[in-house]
Amino acid sequence: MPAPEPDVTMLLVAWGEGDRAALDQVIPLVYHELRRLAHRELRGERPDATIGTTALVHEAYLRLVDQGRARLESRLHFLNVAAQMMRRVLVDEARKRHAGKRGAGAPRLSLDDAPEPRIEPSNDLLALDEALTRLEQIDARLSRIVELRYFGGLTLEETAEVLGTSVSGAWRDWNTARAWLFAAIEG
Amino acid sequence: MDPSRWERVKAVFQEAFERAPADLPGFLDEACGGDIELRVEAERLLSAHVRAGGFLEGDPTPLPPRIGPYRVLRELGRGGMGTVYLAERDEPGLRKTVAVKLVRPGMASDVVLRRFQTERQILSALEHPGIARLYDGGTTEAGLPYFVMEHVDGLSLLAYCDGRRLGVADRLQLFRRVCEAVQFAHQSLVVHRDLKPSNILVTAEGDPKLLDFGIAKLTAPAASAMTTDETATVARFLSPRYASPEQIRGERVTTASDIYSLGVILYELLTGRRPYEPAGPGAAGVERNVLAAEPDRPSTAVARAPHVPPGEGSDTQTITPALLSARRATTPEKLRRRLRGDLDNIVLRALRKEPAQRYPTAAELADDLGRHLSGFPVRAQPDRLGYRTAKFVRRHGAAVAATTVVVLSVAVGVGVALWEARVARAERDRARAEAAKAEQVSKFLTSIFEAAGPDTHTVKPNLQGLLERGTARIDELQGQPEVQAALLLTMGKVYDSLDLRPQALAVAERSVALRLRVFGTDSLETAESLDELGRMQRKTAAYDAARHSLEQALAIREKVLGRDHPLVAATLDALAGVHWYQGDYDRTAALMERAVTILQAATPDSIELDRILGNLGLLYEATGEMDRARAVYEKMRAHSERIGGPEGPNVVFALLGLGGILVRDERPAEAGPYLDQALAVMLRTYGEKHSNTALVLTQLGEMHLAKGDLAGAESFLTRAIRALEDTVGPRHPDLAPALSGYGRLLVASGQAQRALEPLERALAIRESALGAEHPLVAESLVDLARARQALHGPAAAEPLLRRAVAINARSLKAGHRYRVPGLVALAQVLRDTGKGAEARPLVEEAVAIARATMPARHSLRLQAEKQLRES
Repeated sequence: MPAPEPDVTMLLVAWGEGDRAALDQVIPLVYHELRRLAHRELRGERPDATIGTTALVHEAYLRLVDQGRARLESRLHFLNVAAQMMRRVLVDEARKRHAGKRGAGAPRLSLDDAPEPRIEPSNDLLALDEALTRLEQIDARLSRIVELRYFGGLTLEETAEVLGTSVSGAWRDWNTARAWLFAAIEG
Repeated sequence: MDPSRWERVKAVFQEAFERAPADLPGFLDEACGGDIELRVEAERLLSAHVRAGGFLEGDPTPLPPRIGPYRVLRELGRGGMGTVYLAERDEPGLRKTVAVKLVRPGMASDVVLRRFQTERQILSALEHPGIARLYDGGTTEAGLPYFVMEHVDGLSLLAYCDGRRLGVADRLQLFRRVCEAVQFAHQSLVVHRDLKPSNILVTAEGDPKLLDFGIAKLTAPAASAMTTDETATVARFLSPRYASPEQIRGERVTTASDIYSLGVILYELLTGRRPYEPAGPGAAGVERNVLAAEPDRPSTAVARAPHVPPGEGSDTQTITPALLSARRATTPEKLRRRLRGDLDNIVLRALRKEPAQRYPTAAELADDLGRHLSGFPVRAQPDRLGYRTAKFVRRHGAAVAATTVVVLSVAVGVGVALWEARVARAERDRARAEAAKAEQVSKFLTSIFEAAGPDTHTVKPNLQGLLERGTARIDELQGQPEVQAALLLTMGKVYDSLDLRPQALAVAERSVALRLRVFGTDSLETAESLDELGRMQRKTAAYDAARHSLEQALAIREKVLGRDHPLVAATLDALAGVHWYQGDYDRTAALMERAVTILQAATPDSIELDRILGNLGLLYEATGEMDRARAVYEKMRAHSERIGGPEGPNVVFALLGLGGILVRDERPAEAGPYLDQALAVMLRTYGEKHSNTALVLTQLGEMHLAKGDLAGAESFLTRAIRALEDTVGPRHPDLAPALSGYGRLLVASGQAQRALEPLERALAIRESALGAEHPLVAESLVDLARARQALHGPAAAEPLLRRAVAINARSLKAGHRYRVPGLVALAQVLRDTGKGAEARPLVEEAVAIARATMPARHSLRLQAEKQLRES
């Protein structure tokens, strides 16, 4: 008998109830789905759609999670994981495409670049990822916020809920992170 | 940088970054003291912040060049549902500028489009100067839905009023025009569902226009009639600040929900503040207050403490009473006086948590405002009881499940026994609805009793422990009996949904006692507790006590609210249930009819009405009053269609009822259209493998059997059986009618031997589910008897038939229609075995009943009359 399909909804609910092991199982599933969706974008299967990561994450959510069985918190749990995975997906893609091109001459993120990562993994994304990793060492919460908002597309309120802080606290942290990252990438 | 250093830099930065540049040097001097390094780091970060601008902020995504036949010019804005673009029709000679809303991916496009097709007629016909037209809709090549709307160039309502420093009177006049537009739409049966200030634009000429009328319904996640667990997921798509309590709970949205939203908007228009501030982080905080807390009166809201909104970049000015009143061309004190009294009352009335207590129409809200402006007395009255307590989650009132039916203990009969199927299903739904409700209430209680903020890894609390803790906490509230009473009431409901009856009763009784003491004998609070107590007593079969409680509740409600109030209808309905269990069907029907009359007048769009009509139909079917049953089902059908559309969940059950009556009256050809339609809807809504669909399939099987179309009957009945076995298992009560039908079919086609198994199964299921003395058991006995007779002759059938007739004699009223089949069958068998004399009284009874209750050409009646002639 074939192994049963892993059930993301169930895993999320289990995780919400304290089962940490469920988280480990959910992560690769989410990663897989996001990567699949991202590839679809990259292969240009939907040419005139303007897809951003937020939309992808939402789409992944709707595909993977059974609304009827999920709990209230499941969506946030999912987004929590998805944000991290989205970052990984994009960075992996960027690495594959731009292997070897990084270096001192790397262009910096200009203000006019569409900051919501378009599914065109670029050099800039790698720089961001690198900076984010460094930020993580100094202040993990700040890097988390960026992951959630930028890669996961969560609103300020949702971010605050996931992290368990107030909205104003999240707002202040968000601005701090942006400033730090900008400075770090600028060089 | 070492961690503690970083913390300091961060702290300075966070204090500094929102200050005006001119203030920075002074602040930094103070904050950093002599620590040069700290200052340098902080300044570096601050300047990076300035240069970062919109870095990572999600600047507009590249414009799609076209959407359908429209060329995109620029982006206008974005919302939860998607992005709105300014676009132009790209055809020679046709240069129209419109707003196109592109629904974002992941919002179930096919559902959205299907709904749009259904709604299109109504929505596009909505022509009113105050409503932005919806012209068209379509899909892009990528499969994303879009809507084409009138482009309105204007400011949002609040921005317009604040920008021009409009005073209270001017604001009210503008608002009245908004109400007018809403009223127009309501009269065209379109509910907005998502009214908020950003959806109301005011042009430069000062004309208000409402956007997105009816769109929310199109893009709402699919509401499923039978599952009730998705309540708050729906709410997540709405702005909780403007959503009504019933919307947040995921219940039916009506015009009253729009009225509520208008109330919130009016509140904000007049005071600059919202009625509910978040009680905790995130949207859940606001929702909690919308459901539970009493809003400040607008006149006092003005004076609320100043605060700085954590803006998403825009207005981070400190909000003070002075600022707010300046925007209204007045001072805080004058504003407070202006709002006190009438305006307070008007706004609060629109914000009532019970839809029935708000203004019934937007026009009446506008009228009351008009009266106020002209100096006439207004209709809104202060909340009668004038106390402020934390009201916890109230009883939902309107049915959460689509078909919650009173449990019936009397059978239907003759050939088409779908009762137990419907009843069992209803019980299951009700249990599920109760469980969902308990889940919600417990979540709610959790959030109140637990001190900590949200934690994504919390283990779900043990409900019972929570309740015990809760009850203990309630006991501590000695000095606040009103709060205690309200909490006890809620606690009782939770115990009830967990089937912890003794605790539920104890708590409910305490609530009644307390409320009597605090509010006296003529208060609505006492009535509420009595009503709840009565329902619980009914559930524990303490019928006399239940009647007593409910009659008291009814008396109070009639006295205080008048005889025509929906709450009176609710108690009538509960009381009807008690009479039902006590076997007084006439009284049951009378009470329910009265409830129906009240609701038809007071809340004609309530789903509660559907439920009561459905129950009433079943009641009349059970007592054999087919004409009345038919009339009720017709009413139910018309009503359900009006509020839910032709595919609304309750319409199907009305169709099923109508079809069933016709089949039972042996008019299968006429039943066809009803049942076919019902099946079509069922298949679309639930699919083939669902117990609801099986219900219709069974009925269709019976219909074909009645027509003599054995092949058709077999097809439907086997489908029904398979669907049920796959979904609810082989021993489920829903299977009995399908198995019975199948057995009868086999007998009719000469395969009596094969019929034994399904018929015996049906009998076993019924005995186990309903007990041995139930008319449906009698019906199965009759079916089985017929099969045995076909195989082994009349003698084999006799014992079963005797048992059946005896059961019916004991459990059905004299003259009840469903006695007839048993009587006729037994009489036949007795005559065939030479006991004609014994048969005679049975035949006489059968004929008398048949003549009184059945159409002249009904086969059973003909059979009975023939027996009479021959004896």
